[in-house]
Amino acid sequence: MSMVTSFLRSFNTHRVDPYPVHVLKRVDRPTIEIRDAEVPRVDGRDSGFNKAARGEYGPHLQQQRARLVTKHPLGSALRGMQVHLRDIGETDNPVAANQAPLGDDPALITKHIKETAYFLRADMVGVCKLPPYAVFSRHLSTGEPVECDHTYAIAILIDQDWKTSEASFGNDWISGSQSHLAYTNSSFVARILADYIRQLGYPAKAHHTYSYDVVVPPILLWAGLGELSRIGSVVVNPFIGPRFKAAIVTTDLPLVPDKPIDFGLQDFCSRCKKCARECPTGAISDGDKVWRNGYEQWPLDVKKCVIGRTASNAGAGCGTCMTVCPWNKPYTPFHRFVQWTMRNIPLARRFAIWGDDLMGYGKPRIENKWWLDLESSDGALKVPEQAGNRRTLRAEYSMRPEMLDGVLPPFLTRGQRESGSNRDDAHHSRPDAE
Amino acid sequence: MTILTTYKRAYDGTKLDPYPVESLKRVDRPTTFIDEERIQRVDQRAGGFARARSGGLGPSYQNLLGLFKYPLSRAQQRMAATLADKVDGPVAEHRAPGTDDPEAMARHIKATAYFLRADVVGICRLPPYAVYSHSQATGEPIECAHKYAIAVLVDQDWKTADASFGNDWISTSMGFLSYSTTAFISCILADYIRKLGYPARAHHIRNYQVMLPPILLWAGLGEMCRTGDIVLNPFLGTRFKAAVVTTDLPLAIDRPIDFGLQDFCSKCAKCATHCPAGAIPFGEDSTVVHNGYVKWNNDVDRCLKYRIGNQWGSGCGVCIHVCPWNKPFTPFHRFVRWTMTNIPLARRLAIWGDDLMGYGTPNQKNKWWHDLEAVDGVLQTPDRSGKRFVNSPTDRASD
Repeated sequence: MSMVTSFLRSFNTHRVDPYPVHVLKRVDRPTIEIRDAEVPRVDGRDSGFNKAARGEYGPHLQQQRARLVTKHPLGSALRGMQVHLRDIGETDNPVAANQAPLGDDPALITKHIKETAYFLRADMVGVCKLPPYAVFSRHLSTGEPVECDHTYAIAILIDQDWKTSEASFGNDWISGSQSHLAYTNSSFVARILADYIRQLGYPAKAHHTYSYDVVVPPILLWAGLGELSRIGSVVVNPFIGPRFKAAIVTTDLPLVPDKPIDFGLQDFCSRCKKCARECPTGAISDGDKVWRNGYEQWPLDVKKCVIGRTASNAGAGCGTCMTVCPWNKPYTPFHRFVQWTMRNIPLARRFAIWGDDLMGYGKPRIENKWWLDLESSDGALKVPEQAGNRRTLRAEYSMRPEMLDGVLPPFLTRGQRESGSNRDDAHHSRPDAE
Repeated sequence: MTILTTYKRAYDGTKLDPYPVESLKRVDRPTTFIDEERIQRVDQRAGGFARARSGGLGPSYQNLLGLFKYPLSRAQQRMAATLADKVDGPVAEHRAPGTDDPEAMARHIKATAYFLRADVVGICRLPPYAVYSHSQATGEPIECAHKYAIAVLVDQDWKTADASFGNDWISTSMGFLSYSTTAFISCILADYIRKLGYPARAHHIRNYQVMLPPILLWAGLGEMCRTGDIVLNPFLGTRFKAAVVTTDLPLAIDRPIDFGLQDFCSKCAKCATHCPAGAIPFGEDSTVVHNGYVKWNNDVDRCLKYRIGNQWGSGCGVCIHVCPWNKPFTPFHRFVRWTMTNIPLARRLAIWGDDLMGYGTPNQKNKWWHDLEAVDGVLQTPDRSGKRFVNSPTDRASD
């Protein structure tokens, strides 16, 4: 539980949720178009990281993918815990033979399960019916067919820490640790929660990093935890922005689903484009939504994103989009007010986008940096030459095309993207010639 | 001090500690006398639960399942148990560059622990007498020669403390919330330090080589309190559990704190009044010297027997709940806490006001858990759930 969630929970003991989710506008369907019948089940092996790990993006990225998390010692320690949490999953205790006397009101059971997750220090929790298309068709590592016919999904969100986010570029050496902080903590909560539900006599399975049988974004959308954003397949939450990771517990325990939310993000993202502007590899589109796999969403160039996260020599991983997003804010009274205007007043969104740059948000507050810049290389830790940057990775890759192994379209300069020039034509351009 | 500063602090990147530990008065030695020459290292097998398990409290207390008859605490306990052998591992061959400034590294390690979602962190030199002499599991002698100890505290959740009696069905889960979470944090932190090239070992509920109270005292995380063997933190009261990482990484140490607790506890006996086992002493000066430590003379066996055999719930933490220091970190309580720390007369007022305002009485409308009891492997709704006892100072003497 982040300190703020802890305070919120202390100050509002009569509420189930520490964050005021009751103020959000609920809608019947997610705010992006989803053609449920057309959404295919995804092969877990097809993620960008898995493709990189298999060498589909060439040998350089394959090699870099293997050391992505472990090249920083804190990320490496977090990863060790994550592997442990995956491995103990194989020894999960069975479902109790008798169902516990929980009463017959699913609303009360839902309240209880959410309270239990908050007690276990989750930052935000939501429940939905498990969409069949959210289940992987094949397992992410073994490739075995995956079946999960549980009725409900409980999503557990963990904040990636505002203080760290505020101090960092988003693509420096703490980036991977921020992700894995939220991955390990959400896994920890999900594992205990699933064990608890099985003891209550209902099937339950924890899905988390290295052990997902389900795709997270559609579950977050249906559980009312956010809207799909310009960043691509990333869900943005109205209180913590994209600064979180989630684990899921699927179960047959009778629950009442939450409803999707609408806080104006589709309108906001269509105007803002700050993530597209700042993405070091230009992976985020500054154009319009497209139809992809039954979802109408902003397209993300997964290969470029994977490059930015794996092959950077300025840091471990990348979360620049998360860091610069105007919704990535601390939950202070000032920002609560601004977020209220952003949710409720369309005109205020333009003002907020303008003000966000004006007030310097998204720029790292280096003086508050608390972590060590370290890179593991040949078995020893050394101080790397670079530590994070903004919009220079693209220059670097353009100058060193051999790193791309020929699999990628070139990086565009901002001017070229704005003028809509053909990507192939820009192959040999250098951003510094802009 | 307003609600704004409370929130701001949680988000203020210039502040290392989320709680205002810099406002605490630091002293050279813990506020209770520790006769370091006399202290004998303790055999882990002499610990309370170890004795219970080996039959030292009598056969009816041998089975500790009394603590895990509630499904949530069983799940948490199982998670902590998986971390039993994750406490140590290989140390990186080379030391990481830039890790030789003790001041900077102490700040860095604390910031890392807070990043990993610890609530309070403190550092001290590892007192040799804090290391157990023999292992509970194997009976083998224990050696732990690390120089420093990093203590990591996690809150047991105010909302739950506020809603419960302290001896009802959620009690063990509150303890194990903090035990499992500190185990998780300490294992990651120790692994990180080993990757920096320094030996480090985590010590948590399922694998200790050190005992915690002296470490918490020297690391400035609290003072000894009337409850007996428990350290009380000025911001969380006794509503926390801790894990420790011992290491040779050079670290600047914290100093012990004095927030007036010895005076406070001598005047307040709320825990003694409400202890269901009558295990906590009344009286202004009911301290003893035990193995070189001055401490209040609590009856460990009574406490243990009640926690294991409690029929009204799972485990017991009534002393945590009724303690006037068990409060949320709201502006009002921050103010009251400041007066309790700094103005001796205000302590009497606070003790009086605590009862007057009904603190320690469960706020049952906020109860969120289900009362469940595993009987022969089947969960049932128990017909009893928590109970507040009231002892008078004469009870125990006549018992």
